[in-house]
Amino acid sequence: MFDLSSMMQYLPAFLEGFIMTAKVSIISIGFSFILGMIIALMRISTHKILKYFALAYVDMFRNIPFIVLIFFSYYGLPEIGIYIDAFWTGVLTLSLAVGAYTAETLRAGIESIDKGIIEAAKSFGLSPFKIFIKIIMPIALTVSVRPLGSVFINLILTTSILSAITLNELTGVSKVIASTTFRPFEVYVFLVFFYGLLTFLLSGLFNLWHLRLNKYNEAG
Amino acid sequence: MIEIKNLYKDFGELNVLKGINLSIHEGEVVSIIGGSGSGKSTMIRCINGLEKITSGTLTVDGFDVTKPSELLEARKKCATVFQQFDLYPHLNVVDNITLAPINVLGLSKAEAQIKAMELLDSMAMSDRATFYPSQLSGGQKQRAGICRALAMNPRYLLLDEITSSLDPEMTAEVLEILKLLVKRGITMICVTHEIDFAREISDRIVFLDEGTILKDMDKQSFFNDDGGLMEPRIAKFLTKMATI
Amino acid sequence: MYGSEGFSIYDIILWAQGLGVSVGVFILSMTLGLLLGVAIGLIRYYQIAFLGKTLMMISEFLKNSPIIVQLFLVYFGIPAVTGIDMTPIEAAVWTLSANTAAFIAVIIISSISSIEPRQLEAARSFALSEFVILRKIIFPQAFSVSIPLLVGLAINQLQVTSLISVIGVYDLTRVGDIVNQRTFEPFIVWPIIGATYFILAKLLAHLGTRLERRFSQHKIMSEL
Repeated sequence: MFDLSSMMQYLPAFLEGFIMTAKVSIISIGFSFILGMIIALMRISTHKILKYFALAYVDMFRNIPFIVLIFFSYYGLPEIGIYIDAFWTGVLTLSLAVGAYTAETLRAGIESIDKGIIEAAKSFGLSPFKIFIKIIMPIALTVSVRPLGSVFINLILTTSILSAITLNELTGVSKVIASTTFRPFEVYVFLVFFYGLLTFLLSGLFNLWHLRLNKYNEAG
Repeated sequence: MIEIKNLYKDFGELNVLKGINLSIHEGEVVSIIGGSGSGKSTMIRCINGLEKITSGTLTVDGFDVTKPSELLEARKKCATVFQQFDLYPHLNVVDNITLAPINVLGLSKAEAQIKAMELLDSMAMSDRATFYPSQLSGGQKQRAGICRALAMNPRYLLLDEITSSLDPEMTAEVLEILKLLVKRGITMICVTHEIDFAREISDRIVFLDEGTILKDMDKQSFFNDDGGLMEPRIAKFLTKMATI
Repeated sequence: MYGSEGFSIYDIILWAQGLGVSVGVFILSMTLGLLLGVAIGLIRYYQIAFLGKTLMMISEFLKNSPIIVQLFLVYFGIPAVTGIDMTPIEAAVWTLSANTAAFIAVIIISSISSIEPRQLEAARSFALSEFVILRKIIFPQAFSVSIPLLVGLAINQLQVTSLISVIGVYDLTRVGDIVNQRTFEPFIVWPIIGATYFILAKLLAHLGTRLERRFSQHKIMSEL
């Protein structure tokens, strides 16, 4: 009943889907991290307008389902003269949406930093930019790296929704394989295991990173 | 010279400093004492620009700390050692010390590291160079904090109650080091609770009370019966400190 | 040519129907998921051999794979091997219930393990039956610990319901898609759909805070 052998010929197609998922994920993780950093900074700034903008941003993107956002971009962008393909529509929307979660995670990390440490750096004449890069981000990351890991794992799982706007990533490709082989059960069970393995490996990676970043806390 | 003229600092409704006038010359060791809430820590925080002053002027070698364009120059001349150490937790001792020299003074990494190792050596800390702050004792943390400040080659060393978080043994260890620095002729402004220590190292004592300078005199006169002790509040403070 | 038809009064009815389906599926799958999740959590807690571990492993895969794939698996995959036909709504409710249960089981286990073991030992030393211990000691405490986590999960699962549109359930998102295809007014349709979800999420969060407050008060009262 459960037969995978007949599907070996679809392995190359499946691999292509995987590469597409990886590409979308990696680019979106990069963008959403940068965006999250900016939004987190706005969120903790003393500037009222920036602060409320960031707050509204986070609130909006965390409370509207991603599929609604992606349909809005996919059908909306061409209406205002922006013609980009499903890949970039996906990357942009995903980055915007996940940026809200990244921002909240980073904010928690930044707010956990002892104010005295930042003041010490200031008193020695370090510029705000240097303080952010050399002091704030490294310390914030030690706190945020694990929650950040779950945010990015979620991002990878969310790329599956891009199959709804015709992107041929893992899920999109598998849909085609399932309907041509008439073996949807095997295909989707395999896919569930595949995503599971992927997230398992990734959370392991983030745990290692967490240990590396926190080595200075070990002895204390 | 650090020149403070008619300095006021308010936190909202609360007036913490009320018209401070103070000049500190190169080579002097000045202790600032006073009860908690007298504004002594706030004064140090005004000198290194961590608090915005409400009114008055404050210059470090002529650089006005209230002007953003001059603050950096003023900060390069003053280095602070903090009560809670405030070492960068994610950097080891050497990197803690070299961060500002590399990024603010523009020293090369090698130069900064050599300088850091020299400083650590002078404080018997060489064997802790690659340790993280969490792996150090309180006294070691504060010695690292002093190295971090000295690595900036400051003209003025600001010490903000640097022994308050230490137990007596570690306090003695840190005070020994300060005595050595005094011998080298470094200018120090030190906010402290350690009256005995102030008596031992300072040239001048400034007694702060409720945001104003109650007495500013050289050490000998301050501890004389006809000096600072004439002031009942100071006498009361000193007896209180002596009984602790 | 599409884009020429414009909106009609019936679109409001469509919207209301979609909203009803979304909310209905949400409530149904949350309820079933809660029952199933508590059951899995208890089976694991009492370490019923084999079953506990197997269920937890299935839960892991439900938590770590896309909901869309789970929906495809249930809607297309299960009928293909068992011959049991399912309507899209049935498939949606079963999938979301199982998925919710996987998360709830974890919340239940961590809430129970937050109770001090000494309390339970004391209760056992008085020869209270396991059922009484569960009902009178474990359940009330675990419940108040898990409330904020359950509220967070509910807000998340509300958004997840939007995915059932991909297997053809006429929920809020599907209604949006249909109206959008007909009118070609994405800048009107999707903001309305998005705002509806946003308001639902806010309502749920508000309800959650009230619930949390009530139970934290209950906790303080019982401590007095």
